[in-house]
Amino acid sequence: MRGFEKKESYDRQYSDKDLIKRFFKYLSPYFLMVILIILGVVATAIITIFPPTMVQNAFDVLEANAGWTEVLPFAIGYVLLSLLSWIFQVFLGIIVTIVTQKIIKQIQIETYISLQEHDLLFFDTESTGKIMSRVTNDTQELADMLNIISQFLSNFFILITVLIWMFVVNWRLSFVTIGMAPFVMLVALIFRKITRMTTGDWRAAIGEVNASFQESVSGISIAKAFGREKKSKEEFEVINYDTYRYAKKRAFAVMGVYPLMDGISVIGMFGITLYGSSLILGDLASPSVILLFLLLLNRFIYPLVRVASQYSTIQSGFAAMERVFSIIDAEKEITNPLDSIIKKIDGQISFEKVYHQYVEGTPVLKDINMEIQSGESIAIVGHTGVGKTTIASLLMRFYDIYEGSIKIDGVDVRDYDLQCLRSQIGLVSQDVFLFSGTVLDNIKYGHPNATLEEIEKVIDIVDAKEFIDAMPDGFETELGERGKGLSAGQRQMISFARTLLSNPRILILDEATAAVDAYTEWKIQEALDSLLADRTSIVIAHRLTTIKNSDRIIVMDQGKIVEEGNHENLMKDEGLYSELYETYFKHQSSEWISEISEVFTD
Amino acid sequence: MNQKGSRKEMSYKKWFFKHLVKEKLLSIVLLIFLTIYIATTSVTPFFIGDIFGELAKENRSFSIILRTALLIALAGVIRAAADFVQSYMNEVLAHKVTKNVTEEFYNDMLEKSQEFHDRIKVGDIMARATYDTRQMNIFISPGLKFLFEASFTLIFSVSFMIWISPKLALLLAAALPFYIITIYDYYKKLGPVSKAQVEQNSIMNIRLQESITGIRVIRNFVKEKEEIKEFDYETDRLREINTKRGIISAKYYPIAITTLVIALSFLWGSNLVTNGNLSLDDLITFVFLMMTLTMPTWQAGRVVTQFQIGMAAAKRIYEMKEREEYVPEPSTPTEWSGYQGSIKFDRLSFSYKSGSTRKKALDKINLHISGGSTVAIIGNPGSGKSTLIKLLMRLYDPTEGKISINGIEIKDMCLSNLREHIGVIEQEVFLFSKSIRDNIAYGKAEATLEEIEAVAKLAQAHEFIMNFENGYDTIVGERGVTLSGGQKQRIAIARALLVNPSILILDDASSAIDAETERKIQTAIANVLKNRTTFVITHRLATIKNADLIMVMRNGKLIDSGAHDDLILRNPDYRNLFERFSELPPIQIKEGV
Ligand SMILES: Nc1ncnc2c1ncn2[C@@H]1O[C@H](COP(=O)(O)OP(=O)(O)OP(=O)(O)O)[C@@H](O)[C@H]1O
Ligand SMILES: Nc1ncnc2c1ncn2[C@@H]1O[C@H](COP(=O)(O)OP(=O)(O)OP(=O)(O)O)[C@@H](O)[C@H]1O
Ligand SMILES: [Mg+2]
Ligand SMILES: [Mg+2]
Repeated sequence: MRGFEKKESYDRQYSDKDLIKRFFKYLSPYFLMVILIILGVVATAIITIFPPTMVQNAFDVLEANAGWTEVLPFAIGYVLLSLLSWIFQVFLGIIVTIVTQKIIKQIQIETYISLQEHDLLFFDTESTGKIMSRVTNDTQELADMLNIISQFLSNFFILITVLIWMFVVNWRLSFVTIGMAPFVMLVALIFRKITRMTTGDWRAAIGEVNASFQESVSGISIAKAFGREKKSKEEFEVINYDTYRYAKKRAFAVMGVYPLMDGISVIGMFGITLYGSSLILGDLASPSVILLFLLLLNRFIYPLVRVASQYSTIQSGFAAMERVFSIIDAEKEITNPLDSIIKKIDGQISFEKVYHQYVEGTPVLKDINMEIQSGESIAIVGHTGVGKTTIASLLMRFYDIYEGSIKIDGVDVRDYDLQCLRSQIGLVSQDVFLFSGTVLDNIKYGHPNATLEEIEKVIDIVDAKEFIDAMPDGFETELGERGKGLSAGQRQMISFARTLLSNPRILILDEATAAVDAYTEWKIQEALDSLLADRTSIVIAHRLTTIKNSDRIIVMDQGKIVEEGNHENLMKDEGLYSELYETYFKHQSSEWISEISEVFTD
Repeated sequence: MNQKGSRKEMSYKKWFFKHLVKEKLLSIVLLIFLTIYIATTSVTPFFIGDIFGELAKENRSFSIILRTALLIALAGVIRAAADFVQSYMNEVLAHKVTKNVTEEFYNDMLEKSQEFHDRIKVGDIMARATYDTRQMNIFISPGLKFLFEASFTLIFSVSFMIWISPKLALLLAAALPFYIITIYDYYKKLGPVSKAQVEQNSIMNIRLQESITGIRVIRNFVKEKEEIKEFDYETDRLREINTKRGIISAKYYPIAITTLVIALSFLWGSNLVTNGNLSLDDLITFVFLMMTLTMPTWQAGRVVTQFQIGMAAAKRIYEMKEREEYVPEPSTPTEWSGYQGSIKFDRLSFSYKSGSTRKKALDKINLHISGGSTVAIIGNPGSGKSTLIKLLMRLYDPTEGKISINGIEIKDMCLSNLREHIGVIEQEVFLFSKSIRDNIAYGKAEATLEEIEAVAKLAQAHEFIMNFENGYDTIVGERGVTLSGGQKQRIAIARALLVNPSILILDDASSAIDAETERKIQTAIANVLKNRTTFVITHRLATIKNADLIMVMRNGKLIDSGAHDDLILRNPDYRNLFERFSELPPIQIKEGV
């Protein structure tokens, strides 16, 4: 119902009641402050009516041809009351700011915490730009809403007080003012609808601009490599222009409200002077009453206008709340189980009838059964895209399996405490990601208290000492985002070292040396041997030289395990493995080379 | 490029102002309606005063009252209409300027050199593109609107007041210095905290961005709690700054001065009235005029608040934009000539600017590569292979020496002209979160589906794409997260093949692809791109062996180059690669074949 924005898959709808309830939950820690705010609001509302009354009285005195000294008390009264009202407002402003900022922070951090708990599936499909905008922009809009609610309250009270006062002073004239209310309400209602609609479109367009900007900058080297800058600029111009178009539409609605209300207030003024004058002519009122009404009119109309239009701002604040809460509440499948098991892992792994799919209807793993003994070193091979990385991800419980069970030491991975599970499995992942910061920060990421000795040991294993020493500030060299400043192979080595340092019981190497040359790879393998000796290890590699020495090789094809055994046995079987192996080496053999070079020189 | 030099001395305020005045028509219409709006606003108190004058008379005439009341209504309606036009125009102006600035910033970010992007974080750029432009927008509307309204109201009301009673207006003159001092004080106080605010916002953005893109690593090492703690720290700092700023604005006190001035003028006015120097209705008019000043006082505060933050934001956008980090384009570019590329590296040296000591990433590379040959580049990690390629694409310019293709120095070619002839599969594949079809067609948007399918088949990608439920319309996640490593690489290969380049570069493009698939791809490429110069950076020995020319690199130096048979005999580094390999039993297999 609320908002017309493009919906994301995780968006959900909340009833106004739910939203308000939740909102109050955020307010409840500041109960005292909220009471103060309400008191302040009521007090300022009451004070508001007095300064005009002072003017009215002064006018009466003057009209009676009294001396200016008699005006003095009213002038002083006017100043004091106005100052009092100002002081109240300052305090209100300060308290509201403090409370608002605290609540925003609270909501921001809650959103962030929930992001940290979201399933990876969520990040697979949602754009970074859009998620970020919820944490930053939408929470900001919530802040504005808090501000506006307090103004809304204050205006509302002023409205009521002024109305009562008018009624007390001259009930006939007050009907003129009340008579304007329905018009104001009507206008507000109409504009609320238009505003909401156009604001939704505008926000969606901004979202597109941001997402596109973000992706262009992240992929800048590709844009350059393909000479695509011009095209990108053209594309951007179009969506950027769209935003402008929607902004213009919205401006019509947003900027139209006040002048229209202003027009209505003028009619009110007209009514008051006319009707008031006729009352005076009929001796039913004194001129000073009209003066008072004219002075009060502003204090009636503007709050009324604000109350009416702020209602629509509150509505869009509600929409922002909905967007933020949607992120916080997005379904999480992978959570810590209630009676989570925390224990030291020995390293025995079993897959029982494991089926998995990322997208409904596209099975990736089918009926995977395997048994890995503690301390065993196994290799997984197969064509690209068969699901090797998926097996690693499932073991880490990045995703929950569709069917079957994965057990470590006889306990289902879903029963482990997540922290306990993941911290004892080390995954060197195929996609290398380093954080900005120093080289050392990156290596120590998983084990911040590591000693220098431990660090040097892993550095030696991955053969990274030489290049780290050669860097301008050695270990302390600052890297850019994603580890910019290192070559791809160097990044992979750092990521490798990072995992080794956390000293896991089970080690998964997913193409961990794919970006390094054969010689360096060989050196790393030699160094790794002793480290792997008593741990369970799973090696995934396309370079078959790296896996030949594994205790057991598991061969996958089309999401299934098709063969299993050691190198010799598999070669004897003449199945897929021997085929892969032969291509791999035939690939290297001189016959093939002469064969292919014919094609090349053709 | 050319026009950028002249902009250099311009300050960010000038730059912002230039954007503002560019919309001349809009601004003129705006000012006209603004004048009407303010004039009608300040004229109303006169009518009110007239009515009271009439009411005070003995023989009040209702028709005069009616006429005056009608005038009030008329002025009011005109005022409302004019207000609408000027507010609308102002809002439009704000969005137009924002749009122009965003676009200018975007275009500029695309033109910035790779070196720039190596250092500047995406989150930082994004904070400027989103939050900062928004702050500029708010400064224009309603900030500028308030400024205009306030100053126009001031001018009109004050002149009217002087007209009614110069003596009374003196009071205002006496108050003026107080206004100036207090507003200036407010302005000063807000400056630093506004700057801190936009900056902290940026810092938070950067953190957020990095923790979302690195979420897998965070999960992998179970570092959620630490990340939360750090983010908590940053948001808390932002909260502190915002609170500080909020408190300063809440304490905006010139309003108090206005109150005082109104009361004093009433008092003094009463004095004048009792002495017969001023009529009562004039006093009323005067007081009403005074009250129209409350709004401008309040608005002045808002203007200052928004000015400070808007300018802090403008400064950030401008400063990033003004960094002179572009790859210079030649003024009279030479066109690419030739079908294949013969390439000459001439005493080529390069070091990345970011390092403090300038370690050379490339050191005096000299080599001639004849057109149509297949060149393998090998070397340990960090030896400069990718750097060499990036220099060839002119992502960076060499610190010394030069590169020529077909006899033309690449500096003399238009960047787009050069790059459209080179197809590259980069080492770390970047895909966009679009459909597979759009990704493949990235370098050639007008490609037909047949063309796309043809290159996908060459890259051995067609089969797996068709296995997806939506085929070519499958949307890949950001950077291609929903694909396997080898699938990403194959899409990147298809993408590069589609542009039919004269020079093809495969920078470790098959590291995640099994040998069988790789062989198929190579055969296919060799068939299609016959006689094109091809660079292959790879760690697969077969591909190396088979190249026409092998470049052996170490620590930025080209330590040797030649054919496999020569190198294996004379180069120890090269032999190292193959030695270990030759211990394996391919020999047996060879016998079996
Ligand atoms: N996050 C994901 N969302 C949707 N589909 C995915 C996701 N990750 C992988 N897939 C799909 O699952 C299949 C198996 O992918 P996986 O990454 O496990 O392959 P792989 O064996 O590691 O391949 P490679 O050797 O190329 O790395 C592929 O078809 C891939 O497109
Ligand atoms: N953006 C950068 N800023 C600073 N230094 C860099 C940057 N990129 C690479 N380097 C450094 O330049 C040297 C050469 O890097 P390059 O990427 O060319 O190596 P490479 O031979 O491609 O290695 P790999 O086999 O790992 O891909 C390395 O020492 C690296 O640390
Ligand atoms: Mg994989
Ligand atoms: Mg490289």
